[in-house]
Amino acid sequence: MNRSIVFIISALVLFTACEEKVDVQLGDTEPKVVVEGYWCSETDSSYVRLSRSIDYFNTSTPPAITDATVEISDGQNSILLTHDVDGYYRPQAGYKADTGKVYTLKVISDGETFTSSSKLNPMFEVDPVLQFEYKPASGFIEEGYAVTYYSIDNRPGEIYTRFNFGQNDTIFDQEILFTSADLIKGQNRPFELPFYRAQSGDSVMLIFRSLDVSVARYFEALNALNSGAPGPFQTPPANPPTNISGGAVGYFMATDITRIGQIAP
Amino acid sequence: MKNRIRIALLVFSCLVLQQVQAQNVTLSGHIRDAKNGEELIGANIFVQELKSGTVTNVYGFYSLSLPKGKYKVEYSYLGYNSIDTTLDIQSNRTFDIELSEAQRVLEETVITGERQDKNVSENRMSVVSIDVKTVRKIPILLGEVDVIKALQLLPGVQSAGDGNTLTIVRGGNVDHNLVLLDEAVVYNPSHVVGFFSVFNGDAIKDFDLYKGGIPSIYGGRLASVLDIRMKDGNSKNFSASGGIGILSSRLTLEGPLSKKKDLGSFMISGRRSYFDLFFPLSEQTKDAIANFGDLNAKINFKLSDKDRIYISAYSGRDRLGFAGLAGFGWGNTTTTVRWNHIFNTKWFSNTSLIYSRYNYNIDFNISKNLNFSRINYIDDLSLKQDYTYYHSPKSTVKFGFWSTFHTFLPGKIEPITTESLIQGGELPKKRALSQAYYGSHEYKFSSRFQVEYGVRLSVFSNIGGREFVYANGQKNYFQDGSIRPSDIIDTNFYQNGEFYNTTMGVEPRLNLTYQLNSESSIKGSYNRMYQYLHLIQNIAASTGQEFWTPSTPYIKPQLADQVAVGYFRNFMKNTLEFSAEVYYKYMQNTVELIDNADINFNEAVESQLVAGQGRAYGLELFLRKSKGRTTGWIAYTIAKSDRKADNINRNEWYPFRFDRRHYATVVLSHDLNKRVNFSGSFIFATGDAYTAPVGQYQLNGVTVPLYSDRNALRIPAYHRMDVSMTLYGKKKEGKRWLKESSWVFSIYNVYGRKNYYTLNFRTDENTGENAAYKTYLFRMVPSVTYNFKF
Repeated sequence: MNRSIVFIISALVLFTACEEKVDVQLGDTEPKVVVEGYWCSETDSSYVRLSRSIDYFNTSTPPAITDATVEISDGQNSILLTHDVDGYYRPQAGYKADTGKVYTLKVISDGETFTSSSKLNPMFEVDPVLQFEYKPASGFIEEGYAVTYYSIDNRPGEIYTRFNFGQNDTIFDQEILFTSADLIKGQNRPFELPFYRAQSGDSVMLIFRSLDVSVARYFEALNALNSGAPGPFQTPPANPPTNISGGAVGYFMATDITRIGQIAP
Repeated sequence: MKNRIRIALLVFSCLVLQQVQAQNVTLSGHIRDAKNGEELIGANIFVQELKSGTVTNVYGFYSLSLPKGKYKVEYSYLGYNSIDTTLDIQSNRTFDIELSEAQRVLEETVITGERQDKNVSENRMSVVSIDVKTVRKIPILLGEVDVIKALQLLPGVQSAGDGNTLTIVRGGNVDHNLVLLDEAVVYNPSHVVGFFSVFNGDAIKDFDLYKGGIPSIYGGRLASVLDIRMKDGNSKNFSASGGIGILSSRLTLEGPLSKKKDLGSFMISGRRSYFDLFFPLSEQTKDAIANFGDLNAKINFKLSDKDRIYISAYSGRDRLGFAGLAGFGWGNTTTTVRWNHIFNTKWFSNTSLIYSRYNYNIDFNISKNLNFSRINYIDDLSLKQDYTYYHSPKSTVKFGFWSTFHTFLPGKIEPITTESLIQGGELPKKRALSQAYYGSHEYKFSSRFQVEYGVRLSVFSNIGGREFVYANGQKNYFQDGSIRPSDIIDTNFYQNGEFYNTTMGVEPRLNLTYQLNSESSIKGSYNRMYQYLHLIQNIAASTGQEFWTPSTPYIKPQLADQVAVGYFRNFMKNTLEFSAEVYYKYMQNTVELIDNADINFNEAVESQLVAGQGRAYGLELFLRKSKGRTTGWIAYTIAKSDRKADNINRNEWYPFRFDRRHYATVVLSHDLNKRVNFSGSFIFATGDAYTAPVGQYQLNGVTVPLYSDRNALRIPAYHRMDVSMTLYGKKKEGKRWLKESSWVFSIYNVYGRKNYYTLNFRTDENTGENAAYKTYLFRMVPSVTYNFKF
């Protein structure tokens, strides 16, 4: 939510500002190992992707790492992932991670070892029926249906949710991160999608992913960098705090997913 | 601590006593402007026979002790006709005098002076002073007279960039500057979008900026003190003056409290901007609101020849909003009640009760479930007592105390609608008491050698509230390449009124001047400064989202030691003034943000900070011509300012964000004839240091930037030229109504340089390639203002 504020205030102050593309010399950088670990409760969706960073203005595709050893453990069993294509390492077909477990990742590439762990927290309950309410235009928000979902969170402890929404097969860039600590446990909670109006016939979709705190910190920092990066309303930019040890960048997230979809009236 | 105070008092008493001479009498009084009765600050009194003199204090009061006799005394002030008079002084004597303003003249004649060799002879260095009249001639954005923008054209004082009026002094942070308006602290001197500072040029009488050799009366900030005094008001006649501009207007009313008796005077001055009236013209801005208003008021009562009460107040409010979706505002409010008392011709006392508040709010209302209003403030209530003892023309002693009770509201959130999911809440208030006890002694050993030395003892205590306890006693830790906040494992609670975490600092101050001959001198200074309040801010200065926080057990007081040495030389019978100063400043416990710091409504703000070190050094060159039809100056600074903090850039020194190797300014003003003045200014600054993505990687198809070390890169240099032309109306003294008028035409950024406001990096949606984008705020901005005086 803070980032939405940043967005709106940036828009506000920069209303007198003009923007233009400029040439900037940044120099060369040492490539870093990039880990994208996505371990989820949906079948055949889990993977670990390995690649290397490139210079900022380099227009080529960052190279994939295809010869690493990648191992995932849930504390009792460990599985070795196999390289599929383009740096993607996957478990055997039909695999689905379990909520409540802590997963540990170990990557060995070019003699270097990178490790991480992440807890797969369950998602809260979301009512599959969305509420549509027609509203007139206001500011830069066009007229259309305001969309509201209802949910109840009964989970103990502090669990983060990464919430995305979109329409007609397009997920919007805007992402909302929130923590269960901000919500009243057990209360049925309505939430109107910010800055959004659906038109009749639009297919609205909502995706909720649970995150543990260490991964949430990564996305919090990443979202801050991505909203007009780095705008004047942010603290000095820095690489997001990774939960991967050993000098790599990226994250390893274990996540439970809930998807809701409905067509606007 | 008690012992230290005793020692300090003892030293002062000794200094005072050694000077006691029985035969001396005292000449004292006030120097005022003949036209409006305003007391003149820094006016000169020079006794020919003794080749010695003094200057008036900030209340226009002077006092000189001298042997009985007949003397030729010269009273003078810059821009005013001086008066020579012969006084027979056989006993203590009060002599008030009024000086009249010199007419605007065109010949290469001396229009009087402060002491014309003041630059060389005065025991002050690293002090930036220009008079308000000079400020009026400097072309400024949108035609407003602005003290702060003018100061930023002088050596060692730099702007923090377009879009704000914050100042960087000798490599310090923007919060290292103490800004005082009639002794009240002004926490945010910027008006909305940085067009103007909060200081209305029409309401200001006088100001000084100390960037080194700071007298012991001042403290609480590392880098500088800007001391601004409001006008007292015309004590002779009612008058109205003002200006009508295309984007803002202002009006000042002033007059005596009584036409018949000398009871005192009042002044009230207001400004209102209306540049948002133009917003509907553009699709981009049609839903935006941006405006400010401010009001200065002052009244003074003359209770007797020895007692005078001054009450002054300022209040300003800024608003910035967009389509009812989001808005924010801020404002400073200050009130000062002062009592000047002259015990006798040698003892002057001032007692002040001061209130200051800075508050800011953010309203955010994007949907019926997502809305809130958030407020923060800092409140100060101070008691200040100053004494001045004018022992002899050679020796003046000042001492006093300054005690302030601070209340901070770090944040209070309230939902705007009942359906809002944002829960209301208030971060606990923080309270603190800061106290300072100070004394100084100015002594002239000879006509060549002068010294001013002093000491300030500052004491700061947190009072009541709560403090978090962090895991392993560390508020943050280093892991996998980044500094992260530690877990809070417990909370310590303190009762209301319970003092805890008292810290103190001894701050020595020293100024030395050795005059080599009538045209040149060498000066040196040293000061140590402690800072107990810290501004926590994001990248941009002055967005209304920054907030002040006190020192706590986890945020140590900042500390700076500065030495400066200067050579001062006047040429061509004081027509040209030159100075060269070098300084070195070492700072400790500077407040640096950790990587990815989250400072928004975060009660554990200390966990987002690391204590750093700073070092700043440089050479400042200044050449000024202040007489004749063409006046102006050239200032050049070559400097370096670095920071260092645990686990940032591998504990190595790195450039401070406003580290500027070169900073040069040129200001010129030319009177074409009695009614036309042209002026122009030029500014050049090395680009600021910034952090940029140097690499990239992909996560789930999204490009993620890989960042450089902090402040490892530089944006291109900043430069800009402004010009203005003033057409003065004919003087109409005879008529009852309009007495003076002028039209000011100005152009800001004449050649339309697109100076960087921000530099952003993102993927170009059209090409799919990464690109850099700069934003800039102002290209050429013309403006016209009509000024009048009734």
